[in-house]
Amino acid sequence: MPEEREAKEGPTLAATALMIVMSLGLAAFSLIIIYYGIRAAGSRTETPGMDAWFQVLFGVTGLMLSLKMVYDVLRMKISPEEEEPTIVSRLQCVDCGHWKEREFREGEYVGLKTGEACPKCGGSMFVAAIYAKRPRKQARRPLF
Amino acid sequence: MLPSWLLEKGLLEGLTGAQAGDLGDSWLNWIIFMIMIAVLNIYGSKLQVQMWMNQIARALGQLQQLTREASDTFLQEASKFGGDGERVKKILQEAKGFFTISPVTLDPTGAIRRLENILDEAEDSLNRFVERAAPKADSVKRANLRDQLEGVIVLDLIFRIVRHFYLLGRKTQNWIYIAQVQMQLPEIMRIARAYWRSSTAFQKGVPVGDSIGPLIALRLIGDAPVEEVAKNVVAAEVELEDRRVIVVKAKGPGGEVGKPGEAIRRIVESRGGKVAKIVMIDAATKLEGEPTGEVAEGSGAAIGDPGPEKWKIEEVASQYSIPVHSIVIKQDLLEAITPMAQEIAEAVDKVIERVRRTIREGTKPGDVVIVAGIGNTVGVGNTLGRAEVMAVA
Ligand SMILES: [Zn+2]
Repeated sequence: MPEEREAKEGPTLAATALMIVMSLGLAAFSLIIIYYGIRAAGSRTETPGMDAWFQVLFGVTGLMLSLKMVYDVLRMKISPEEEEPTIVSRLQCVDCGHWKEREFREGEYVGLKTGEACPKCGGSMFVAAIYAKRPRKQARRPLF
Repeated sequence: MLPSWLLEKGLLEGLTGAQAGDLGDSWLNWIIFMIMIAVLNIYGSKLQVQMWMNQIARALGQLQQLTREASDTFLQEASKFGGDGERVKKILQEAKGFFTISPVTLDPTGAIRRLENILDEAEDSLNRFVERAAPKADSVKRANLRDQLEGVIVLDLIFRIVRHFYLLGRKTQNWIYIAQVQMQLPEIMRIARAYWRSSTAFQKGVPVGDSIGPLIALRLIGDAPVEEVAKNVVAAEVELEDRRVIVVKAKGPGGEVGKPGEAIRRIVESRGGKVAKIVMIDAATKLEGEPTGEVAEGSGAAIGDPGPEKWKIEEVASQYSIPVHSIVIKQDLLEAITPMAQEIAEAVDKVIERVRRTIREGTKPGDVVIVAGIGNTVGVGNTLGRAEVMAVA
């Protein structure tokens, strides 16, 4: 079991902390570099040379890299929560075929007479299907 | 173009006290740049492997969590039916790592019968685990608990395999081990999550995607009386398109798949082979890009068992020259074991339309046609509007 614990927590926490410190350091360094680059480029006394622009470019790259690192770390931490589909029962009237959906109740199965009355004709209703309904209709249009 | 106002205000200068162009010396820039390139080149791959290891470690934590949650669900459910907490834990521990050994095929004679024997014993063993864990559970609940237990066993196995490669990679520092797990990690996690979800489906007795076969069979049976024709398989005779149609499905609403092959063989043999057609309805694995719930048909026995049931159907059909036609409902591997998607449930009418057409084709009025709804019948009863199975053979 100690092996498992280590596998689970040890490197993860340390690595996460290290990643965050590194990316923050990189971000700070990049900002300073950008600042000096802009200063050099913007100074009226000297002709702005390639060096200054190179510095800005370097800083922007560093900043992007650090943002990406932070983003990665955060994305890893916040595990992608899948939307829980709601389970619904489709009740159908034996007599008139009218149907309605409502939340699934434990113990129900397809074919069961639920004892509820049909809202249209008062006939008895049975469970015609049970399925998972997505919370909101996802646009799942196929590309091909 | 430049935010020179920022410079003119001298705000930052005050903070840093630096001169413009301090860091602008080109040789210094280039040296820093070169050093970084060199460092990345030399340690880049090591860093990459370390990142992969971290990802796997995180996934391992999640896998352990999923396994634990599935175990806990099983435990809770078992204790509702007379299971004692500590004892159920012990039984779970014993059941984890349960394996089946495939028969020798070097000598293929009778391999199917040997395989069936092994599978029967596997099912019986799992049933015994469940009986010990939840002595008060009825047959429906027992079947659902058994399927739940199978999910726990699979999750535990996935965890063990990933852990194996993780530790092996760490021990040997061989990045091949790490890389091959890391590359497959998204798929592994997807499968693991599906098994985790299926455990809640079986706990509540909700139909899964694979239950579409039995669901369609139930719709065809309507309120006709059913009888048990083979172990955990029920059948009912109904009239459809002027043919005598014998509809076969696993006995619900517990999570059973039954032995549909055995049932079909018995029905055909009891009628001296006078069956005009066998129509099978089953869930089939879709290709990526195919829509869930798409219906397709073809020739041959659609049944995803390890072999014995399919073999029985093929044997008896070829013996009496009965055409076997299959209609499948497409879904991916994960949809098959998680609560049935609406698209799948809504395919029912389309499938019934095709079944009716298939029954008419190549048969005469009055002929006997067998229609088998294959799959796990969790959450699907045996007759519409009736609570219990009418007759048990
Ligand atoms: Zn009604």
